[in-house]
Order: sequence, then C-alpha cells, then structure tokens
Amino acid sequence: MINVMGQDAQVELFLKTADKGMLAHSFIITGPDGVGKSIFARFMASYILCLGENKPCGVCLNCVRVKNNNHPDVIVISPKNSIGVDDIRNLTEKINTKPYEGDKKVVIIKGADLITVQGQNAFLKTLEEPPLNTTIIMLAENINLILDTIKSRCQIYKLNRILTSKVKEYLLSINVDEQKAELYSNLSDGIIGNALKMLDSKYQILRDETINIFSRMAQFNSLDFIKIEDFFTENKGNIDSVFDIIITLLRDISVFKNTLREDYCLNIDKIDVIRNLSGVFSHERLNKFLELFLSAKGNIDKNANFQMAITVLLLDLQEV
Amino acid sequence: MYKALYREFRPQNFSQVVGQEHIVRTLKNQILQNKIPHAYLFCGTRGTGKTSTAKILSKAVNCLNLVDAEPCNECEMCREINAGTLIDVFEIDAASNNRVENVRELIEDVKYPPHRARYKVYIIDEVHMLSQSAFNALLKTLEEPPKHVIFILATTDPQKVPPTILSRCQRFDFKRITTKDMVSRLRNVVRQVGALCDDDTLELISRVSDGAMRDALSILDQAIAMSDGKVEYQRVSEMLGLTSNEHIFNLVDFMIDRNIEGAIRTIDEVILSGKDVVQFIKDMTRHFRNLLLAKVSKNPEEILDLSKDTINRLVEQSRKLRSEEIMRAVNLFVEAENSTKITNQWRILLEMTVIRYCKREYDISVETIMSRLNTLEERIREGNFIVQSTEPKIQTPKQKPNVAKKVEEQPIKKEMALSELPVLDVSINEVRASWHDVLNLLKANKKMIIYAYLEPGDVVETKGNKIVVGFDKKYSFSKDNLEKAENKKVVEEYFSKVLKKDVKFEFRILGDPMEDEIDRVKSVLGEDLVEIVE
Repeated sequence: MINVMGQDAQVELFLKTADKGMLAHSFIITGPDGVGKSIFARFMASYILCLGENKPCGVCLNCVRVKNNNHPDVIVISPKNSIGVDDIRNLTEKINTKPYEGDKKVVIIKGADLITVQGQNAFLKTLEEPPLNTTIIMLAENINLILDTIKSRCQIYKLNRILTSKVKEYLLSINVDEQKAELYSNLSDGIIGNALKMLDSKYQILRDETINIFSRMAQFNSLDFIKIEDFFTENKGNIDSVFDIIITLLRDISVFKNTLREDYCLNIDKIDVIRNLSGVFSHERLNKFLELFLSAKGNIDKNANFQMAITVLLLDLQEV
Repeated sequence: MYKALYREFRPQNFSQVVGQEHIVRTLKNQILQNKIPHAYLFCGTRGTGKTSTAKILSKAVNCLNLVDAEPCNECEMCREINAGTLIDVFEIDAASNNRVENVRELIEDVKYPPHRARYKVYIIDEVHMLSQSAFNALLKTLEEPPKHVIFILATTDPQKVPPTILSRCQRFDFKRITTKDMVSRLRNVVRQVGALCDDDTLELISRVSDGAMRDALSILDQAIAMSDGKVEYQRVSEMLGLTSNEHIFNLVDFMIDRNIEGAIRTIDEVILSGKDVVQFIKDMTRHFRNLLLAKVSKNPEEILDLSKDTINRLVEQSRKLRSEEIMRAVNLFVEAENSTKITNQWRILLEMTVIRYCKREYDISVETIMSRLNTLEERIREGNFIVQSTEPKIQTPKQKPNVAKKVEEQPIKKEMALSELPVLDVSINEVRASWHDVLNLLKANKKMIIYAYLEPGDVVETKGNKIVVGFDKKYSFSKDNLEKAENKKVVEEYFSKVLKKDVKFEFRILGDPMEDEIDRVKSVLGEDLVEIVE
C-alpha cells in the first residue's frame, strides 16, 4: 500500500470523497517540491483502479502495478522543460483512446505548471469534459502559474508543509541521528522530500560550499569574481538548491540581525557564519541582495542565458 | 461515474442562467422576434456562463417545440445537442484548433446547409487563442455567412481578439455573479444534492470564488464530499487554507510597533497552523487595502463588505497608520506576491517583506521618503518640535500658551532621552554589526563628509564604552578630521543612537606613518642614497 507521509487531512478528504462516489474527473495536486505530490497521485490512481474490496487494498494486481509504475492504463507525463500545444494535442489523443485493460484510465501530468499558456488553453475543453471513466491528475508546484480557467475545472488538493516536528519524527524513524534530524527538519521547511535530499552527502557538500562562497561574496573583492562565477557555473544543474540555500541564509541573517535570537534561525549549525555576516550586512544591503538573487532566479527561470544572468547578478552585487 | 457538480448543474435553459438577466432577456427577445444575428461574442471571466449560454442558445434556435423562447430539452434536437451528437452543432476548441488550416476547414464546411437542424451553430470556445492569421481568415465568413449559420464566439480575454472581429459580432459581456445570486443558486444545488449547509458557509464559498460559479460549485463539491452530512464553516475555511482575521490583525499590530520578533513569531504560528502562505500574502494586501479605505472614507460600512465588528477594528488600527505607510505596505506585499512566482520560499518572502516594512529608515523608496516627509511636515505644522542648537534655549514669549508649553516640555524630554541612554560596555561584534547601518544613516541624513571620512575606517577594539576605530596610514587625514570636536560629536551621537548605548570614540592610525615616509623617499631616490639619521 502506498503511504502518503504526513498528509493525513488530504488523504482523509480524498477517501471520504471517494467512498461517497463523488470523485471528480480532474484534479490538481499542488504543493512544494518534495511534499509528496507524486506519491499522492499514485495513491489516487491506485484507489481508482483497485480491484479489491477495501480500496486501495495494495495487494491486488492493479494496486501492485500502480505501485511499481507499470500499469498500462496509468499514463504519466513528466516534462523536461515545458509542455507545449503539440504535446497537449498528443496527450488529448491518448486520453481519447479507450483503456487497454479495464474500463478506467488515469492520466498523471507531473509539472502541470510547466504547460505553456497556449497548452493550457488547448487543454481546457478536454479537461472540462474528458471521456467517460478517465481521471486526469495534474501535479503543480506553483499553482499561480496555472490559468484560472483550468483551476476552476478541477478539484484542488493542497498538500501543505507539515510540522517540522513531524519531519524530525520521520527522519528519526529512518535512523538519522538526533542532531542531523534536528537540523534538517529545521531546514526542510516542513517538506520531507527536502529533508531527504539534504541527507545526501553531495547536498551537504554543496551547502557547505555555497555558504562558504556566499560569505566570500559578502566581502567581495574583484579577485574572487572569476572563482565565484565558476562556482555557479559548475553547479548549474543544482542552481535552484544553491539559490534556496542562499535565500535561507539571507533570511537568517536578517532575522538574527533584527532579533538577535539564535533560536529563530533555520541554519542552526551555521550560527557563527550568520553572526559574522550580520555584521557585514546593512539592512539595505540585505534587501538588495535578496532582490538581486530573486531577480536572477526569475531570469534563469525565464530561460535567460545562464552565464549572463550570473555575471549580471555578480556585477550588481558588487555595486550594492 | 460521478459527474462534478458544475457539470451536473450546468444550466439547461435560459431561466437557470444565474446573474446574467440582461443577456438572457436580449437573447430571448431576439428569438421571439426571429431577429437572430449571425455572430455573437460572449465575454466574461471564468464560470460566468458563457459556454452554457452558448449551448442553450444553440438549443433554442433549433428546438422543435419552443415555449416562450425556452428550449424544451425533450425534443429530438435538444436531446441530441445535450448528448453532443447533433452534427449541425459544432463545439470547437479554438485553443487546440488555432491554426489557419483549421479555420479554412471550418469555412469550407460552413457553406453546406444544415443536415437536420434549422441552423448550423458553431460555438468557438476560447476564441482568444486563435492565431492572427486564423482570425483574419475568419473575417469574411464572419461578416457574411450563409443565412443558416450562427457563430458563437466565447472568450475570457476579449482584449486579445482583434477589433475587426469584435466589430462583426454582437458582443455580450457576462458579469461576475453577485454574492447574493450565487448564494441562492448554491442553496438550490445543496437542496437538490441533499446536503446540509448554512448560509454563512455558502457566503464564504461565494466570496472566495470571486464571482465565478464554476469555482463555487467545485469548492462546494469538495466541501460536501468532506462533510459528514453537514457542511461546516470551520472545515470549509480550513480546506481553503483561509487565515483567520486574528492572525492578520496581530501581525499588522506588530508591524505598527515595529516589533520584528513578535511578527516573526506570528508568521510562525500562521505556518504551523497549515495556512497557505501565498493566500496569506494576498490576504495581507487586502487587509491593508481595507485599512486604507477605513482610513480615508467617512462611512466605511458602505464600501467594506465586512461585519460591523471587523470594520471597527479596522478603523481603530488604521488610526495608528498614515496613508503613505499603508500604501507602502500594499506595494511591498504586492511585490512579494509577484515574487511567489519566482521562488517557492514563500515563508521567507513573507518574513523579509515584514522586516522590510519594519525597517523603514533603511528603505529609500519614494513612498517611505514621502511618509517620513509628511511626518515632519505635520510636526512642523503643529509646532511640536525643537531645533537642537548649542545656544541656550530662548524662552518663547507667552503669547501662544499652547505652543509655548509644548516647546518648553519638549527639551526636558529630549534631554531625558539622551541621558537615558545607559553607559554600557560595547562589544566589537556589536559595533561591527551596526557599522554599515550607521554609515547608511549618515548618508541618508546628508552627512556625506563624515560618511566619507568614516568609510575607510575599521573597528579595531572596544574598551568599556569606548570604540577604537583604526585607519590605514594613507587615510590619516580622515582621522585628523574626525578628531575635530564637532565631527566626533556627530559620530558618537549616531552610534549611540543606533547601538542604544552611550558610546565614545577614539581614532587611531594603523601602522607607523614614519616608516611609510621613509619607504617613499627610498623609492624615489633609490636605496643607496638614503641614510637615516636618528
């Protein structure tokens, strides 16, 4: 049986709806990355396709296949960059064919927020009245990128961040030691996926490096420029994590500077760095830094030239 | 399979269309008088009934036993249209058929007379997605189609439709559905479904759905599914992730007091209670908008659609804020809302926004400066200020007792404030932490000279309440100038203010200046020629 961690309220809502036979034909599952959207979607699929009495039973043929990701009537779309009109047309065709085995079909679209505006518009009609017994489940990190016209056609399940104490509990249950569990549950922002990502030693190295580089950036001198630029280029694949680490750190510095309270900080293992940097930064500079990092992130998201975006960011940071 | 409420309860005849009486009446009259135009354009936000009305209209023009311009929903035509099987009614999704080829096919098709029905009806939904050339290809046909054809274009974005198309259609604007209409329709649906639900909850749902019926029905659907027979207000509001007013009022109170610690704690509470942060940011924007209305309007009850209690609290809170401050808050929160599309670190955005609001002296946006300027102007107008000077205070003549009294009181208070600052030890970290803030403050207050002198310096050590600032030897003139009594006083004053402690300063040159001079002479004349005589 698929276990959706920590989202009891939403699971309960789904089960209640389902048991009353009131499941809609299209859903949006939204929530931050790593909160368990895919797992929730597979849970739903498994319920819909389950052959057993006590749905989802977890033991019948369909449940097992859904769990192992090889059910022929569960179509999973996972985009790389974006989903355009043509992809949606192909998808519509797939949706309009009959299921291979039973009478039900589930379409899971991961990254529905990556569907272009044209694509979303092209999807509207299918979404409103899909063929009988077809369920469309869209997963979106950022629901603000989804058109209102799409949203109003779906039942929306919001997967929220869970209490950090719950994350910690979970981490302890998979044999993470106390100290790490405390730190990562703090940094996880209430998302188990984040915490799991952080357990990876590569992430830990990345985090240390990023914080290191950031401290150097705070006390810029032009000699470092090339090295810092190289760092960003090397970590192009993880740029979101790098930015997230920096933004979290900026937040900590700002909070610490204003309240002088260590217990409000998230990066509890880097208190020294935070203390140090809070001396280097003025409030104005902190705000400017945050603004610049956000705008750089926005530019990269909008497919600006990566190298240029970083160079501009670094140049602007020097000006502050 | 279960059909979502908004599909189940799609209006089937004109009388079921909610909140669009002006359109329904016109359409009905057109049918009764048999003056049916060949092209309609239905615009309006989502969930206001465009597609539904288009479908009803297609039935009404083809229905075999029309009663008072209402389709019967029973005759052959109506049933086939409802089932989507009548080949003379086309429902085209312009978004996925947006190319010029699709339009050409359509034009080709238009010239044949209908097979069975009276009219061929083309419902072109989401028409704003047609490409430019597709629109142009459509123009001629849209202007003069064969007499058996009706076009119904529907869109949420009429501004994306070219004016040449607009001018060829009869345009109908669908209004957002008012809360009242929506509640009565929802009530109707609830009764038919057989659920229990009180008016407050229905009102909540209709308020959240912002005039869109489909949104409301989607929410209601989910709410009914979640309930055990009775839909409860509390659970619906939880399901929607709405924040209670309490949190918002508290947070704003903290922001007014510039209590960052309290504000961060409140945000923590909001997040722990599982609220949606983006929604909360939107709520904050709306709250400040309400505050502004409560502040500027004489009878806010008429503008604000809120309970008496809440309005009173709003008015009270708005008294503590200036209009510019409120506008600044609105701007900051709108900015934060936009940033939610860039990053998923919503909580951090919210926190940083609040901190930025609280630290207004470090903000140099126009609103902030205006707000601070206005504070000044007000104080000047009230005469409630003192000019600090080294001269002994001249007693104001007793002609205006009110003002004089204030002026008299004020100096005492001010002196109290200065001497109130405790003489405490300062740590080097503390000074370093506030170093840039003081520099910025100096810059902001146009003390550029002192700023320039102080800038190259660095805190070397602290002794008790004395701060030692070291300068590189090449900046010795900075040190000399800062040591002048009046400059030193300014520096001490600013640092005391920021550190909230009474501090003294000492300036020092780092390294030996003599050594440097000798090096310079050596470099000019060459090592061999220089002999040092002690």
